[in-house]
Amino acid sequence: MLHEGPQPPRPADFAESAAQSGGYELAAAKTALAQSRNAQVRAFAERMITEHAQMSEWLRTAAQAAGLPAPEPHVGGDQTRFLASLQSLRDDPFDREYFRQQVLAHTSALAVMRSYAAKGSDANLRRFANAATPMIEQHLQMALRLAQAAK
Amino acid sequence: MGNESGRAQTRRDAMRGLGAGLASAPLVLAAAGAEAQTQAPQGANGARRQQGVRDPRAAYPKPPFESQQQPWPGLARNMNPRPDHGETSYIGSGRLAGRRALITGGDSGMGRAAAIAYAREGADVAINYLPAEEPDASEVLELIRQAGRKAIAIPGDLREESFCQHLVEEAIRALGGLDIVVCNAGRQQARSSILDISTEDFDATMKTNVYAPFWIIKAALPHLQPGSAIIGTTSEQAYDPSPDLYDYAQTKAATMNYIKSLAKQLGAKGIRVNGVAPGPVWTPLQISGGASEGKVVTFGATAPLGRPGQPAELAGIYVRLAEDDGSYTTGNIYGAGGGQGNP
Repeated sequence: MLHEGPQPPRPADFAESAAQSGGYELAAAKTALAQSRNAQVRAFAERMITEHAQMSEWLRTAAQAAGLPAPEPHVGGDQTRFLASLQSLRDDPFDREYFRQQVLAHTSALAVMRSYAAKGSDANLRRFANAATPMIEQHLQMALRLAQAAK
Repeated sequence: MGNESGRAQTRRDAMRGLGAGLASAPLVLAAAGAEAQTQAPQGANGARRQQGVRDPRAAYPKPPFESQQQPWPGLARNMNPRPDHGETSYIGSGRLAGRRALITGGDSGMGRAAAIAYAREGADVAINYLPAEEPDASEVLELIRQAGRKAIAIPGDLREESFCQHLVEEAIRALGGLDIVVCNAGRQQARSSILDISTEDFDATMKTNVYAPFWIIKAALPHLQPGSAIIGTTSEQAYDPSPDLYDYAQTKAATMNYIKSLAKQLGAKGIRVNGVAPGPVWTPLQISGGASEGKVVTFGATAPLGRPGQPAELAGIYVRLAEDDGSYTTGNIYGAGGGQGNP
């Protein structure tokens, strides 16, 4: 059968996408802790590690309830480019790039969560999306503020 | 016109060359005169060339973008922000005076940017597009006419060999010949797993991206005189494929490859064959299933320039690969990747 145009988000695709954004957040935060001396960056990164680890746990539970294999956080295709650029920066340029990426990554994650919460077919994953949305919104607001301040 | 020695010039062609020369005369005078310091050169459409440098990071919109999706194949006019195809900015200078071009996918994206630029450079242009893309296509046809050139609309689905043959015949009939063929139309539908790609999906991508150029070039070749140019739109995906573009990316690798083999085959006939490899470019293909929802929102963010390219930024490449001044360039791929990807 021929499928053309945007498809409604499917449980497996959504779980994969959420696992990738979690994986990128954890990897970027660990890079920040290794490479940045900026207190705001480090505090934000610590919080990302705690809260994205928590969301990853919610995702595992929801995916299993949906009959899917438990997704482990991992870094996906385009995100490797983000990480590569972070890994090559130090000092102020690193801090600016970290917050720039945080704004973009959370904007993207939010679009995916809201879309699944509204149109997703599996109730367990919809509940996960609804629970994760306010947390990601909060991260986005913080990142926007810090990105502005780091300019 | 004078350097197109391989083709007998008709009186109509000569008149066209004269017209283009007159149109570009004020531009030449302005550049030579004292006014050049204060007044930017102006194109026939009223566009002015910017003086001095422009920061490529700030030249066009940056992500994040509004979440948006349209049914395939999507319309540029309904995108936010609207893509820039050079409608108000491209200034021609007679580089393709008297040429006759066929462009597939000429309604939007790179094909539209090429169509606008070709017309302003003095070429008559036939564009192909899907019937659903008529609203975008009618804008392009009007812009070609405003440039004073012949605009030919040949809508239809490239997945049929018989249509591809008809397309070429119709273009040649309406334009009185053909010497630029741009195989640009493409189908791209992101799928996170190979398991989600049906045989019908795979076939549709192959037919549009690989078979259609084969059929079109085959039909056009007997009519192409020495000096003609064939241009294919390949992609950064030919070199660095995304995991969710399994079928599309391999068609772009095939495109990159056919350009090189055909250039070797057709060099002896004086026909040049080249490719354009865009990076992330803001086109309807992306927001109608070509990119996932999450990727649309941050489209182009990973490129070192921090934003997607706009079709207008590639217009000059399509001109360069078609014009006689580029006569030693064949079998090559010209990239516009924003700092990522190859070539």
